Amino acid sequence: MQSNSDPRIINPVELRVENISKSFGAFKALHDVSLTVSLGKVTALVGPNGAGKTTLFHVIGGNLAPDTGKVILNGTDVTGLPPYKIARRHVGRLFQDVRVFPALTVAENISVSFLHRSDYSLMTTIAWWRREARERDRRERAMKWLEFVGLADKADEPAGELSYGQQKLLALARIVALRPAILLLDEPTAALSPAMTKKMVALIKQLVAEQKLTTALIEHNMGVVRELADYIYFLHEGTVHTHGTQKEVLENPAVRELYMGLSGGMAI
Amino acid sequence: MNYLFHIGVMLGIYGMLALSANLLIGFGGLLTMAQAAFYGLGAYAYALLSLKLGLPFFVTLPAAILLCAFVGWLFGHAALRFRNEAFVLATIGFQMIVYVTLYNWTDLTRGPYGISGIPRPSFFGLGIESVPAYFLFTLVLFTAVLGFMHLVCTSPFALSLKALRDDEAAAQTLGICPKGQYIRAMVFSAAVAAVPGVCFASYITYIDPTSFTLAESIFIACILLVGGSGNIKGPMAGVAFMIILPEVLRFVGLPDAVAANLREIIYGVMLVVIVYTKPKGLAGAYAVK
Ligand SMILES: Nc1ncnc2c1ncn2[C@@H]1O[C@H](COP(=O)(O)OP(=O)(O)OP(=O)(O)O)[C@@H](O)[C@H]1O
Ligand SMILES: [Mg+2]
Repeated sequence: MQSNSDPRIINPVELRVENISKSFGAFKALHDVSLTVSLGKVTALVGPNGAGKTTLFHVIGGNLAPDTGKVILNGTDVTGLPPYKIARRHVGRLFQDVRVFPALTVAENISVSFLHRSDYSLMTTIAWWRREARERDRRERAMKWLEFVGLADKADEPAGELSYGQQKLLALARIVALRPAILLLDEPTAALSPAMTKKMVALIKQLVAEQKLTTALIEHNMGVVRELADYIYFLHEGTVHTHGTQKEVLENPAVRELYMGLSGGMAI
Repeated sequence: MNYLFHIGVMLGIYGMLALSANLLIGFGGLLTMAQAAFYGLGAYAYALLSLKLGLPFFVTLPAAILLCAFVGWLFGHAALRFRNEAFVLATIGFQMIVYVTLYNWTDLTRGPYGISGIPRPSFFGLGIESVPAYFLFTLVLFTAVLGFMHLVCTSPFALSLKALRDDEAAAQTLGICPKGQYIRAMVFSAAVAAVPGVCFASYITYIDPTSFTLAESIFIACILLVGGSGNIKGPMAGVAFMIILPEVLRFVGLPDAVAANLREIIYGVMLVVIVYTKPKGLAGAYAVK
């Protein structure tokens, strides 16, 4: 793990969305959604398939412009900024579908996170003697994060050849290598084996604890939610149906009916 | 002997063209069909600057490079709002605009008559006149371009391009601005394509618009499809194959009556077989989509 002297570590950031609505044609994917992802806490978003959870992340991450409403980061309105600008504001987004760079090596996948605008100047591009030191530095830092997720021995393999679970770990490592203040995790354990799920949960727990990351977590696995979530929002058909502590939401009869009933009696 | 040196010059020119297109096609994943437009702009810039203003080579070459870089920058802003098929169409449109302009702006370019009497480069009063000398000169230019592209292709900039190519949305979540990086790639690619343009114009000493057509752009893209892209080896293999194979086929003793057609058929079949069986080309690192 890196020390806290890293200049990119910034103060914890709070994330709020206010009155977000988003329609696809006549279909209202989100309707007047407001929620707060509190400082240094894990806030879970749960709800049936199609509830609009990923759409909300797309809005926060700048992939989709909302029809109405605001996304507020640390008191600043960031609605409608493109995804790369949201990322530069220390928001780390993990996509629901794993999206590693398949042709790049595992280590290069992480190195991309360390690229800075100054690395692209014409001078840096052609003055090789100047870039070697930075390249070594990127590689070393990448290796640290690969060790963190247990992929160091795969560093020089193409990322596309990793197993699905390993790709998810790599995607997580790539995001946290950015030193984000906020994590948006969209189903980090979906389709993982029980062993991999355990590992993923442990890593997220460690990150949140050590780096005080403000985290929004979309998750269908209630075991994972119980283990990680400090606060829960239950989304249903594009609106916030219920929110509160684990007990308040997960033991709410209406939620059980709508969610667990629908998903075939998932054990909670 | 001059024949071999001539092939050598052509290898150098197409080698530079393939390397310039490689940055967009193989690293950026942007299938450009406008490389011949920049090639032509470079050639015309050299021809006009040296004929009309009598400027020496060491001025005209950088001027042609800067002109192409600038036009690439302008065109990049327009075309890089698009991706995939729409981007390909935008580049085809640009290629057509440049061709039609070269063809019809007769006051400047003499249109279909072309420009003749383009001077060969000369340094300190020493002209590069013979074909072997010109081959050496091309080799120098090619080596410079190869070295430059090697640096670009191993740079952090190229890493960001490959990330965008593999997954643009994911690259954005890591803070990479797609438009900025793609425009940079377009500028580099256009600037480098000016060099073979200058080389061609000063070698043949005559240019007309028919050397810079859409068909030429497609040929350049084919070099990368066959040889491969996304690294340096691929484009080099492609150029060797696409330029040398037709020459070799001249000597395989086909019956005269059908030789020309048969050569075309063999050439075509080999291209199809390679593209079909090797998605990454002969030596490439990226399968063009
Ligand atoms: N680009 C789009 N165009 C049209 N409809 C869309 C689009 N994106 C999402 N939707 C629809 O919006 C609804 C919400 O989708 P979303 O992906 O946000 O659900 P989710 O809560 O993340 O579900 P899951 O748990 O299955 O991932 C779905 O019915 C989906 O079909
Ligand atoms: Mg989803």
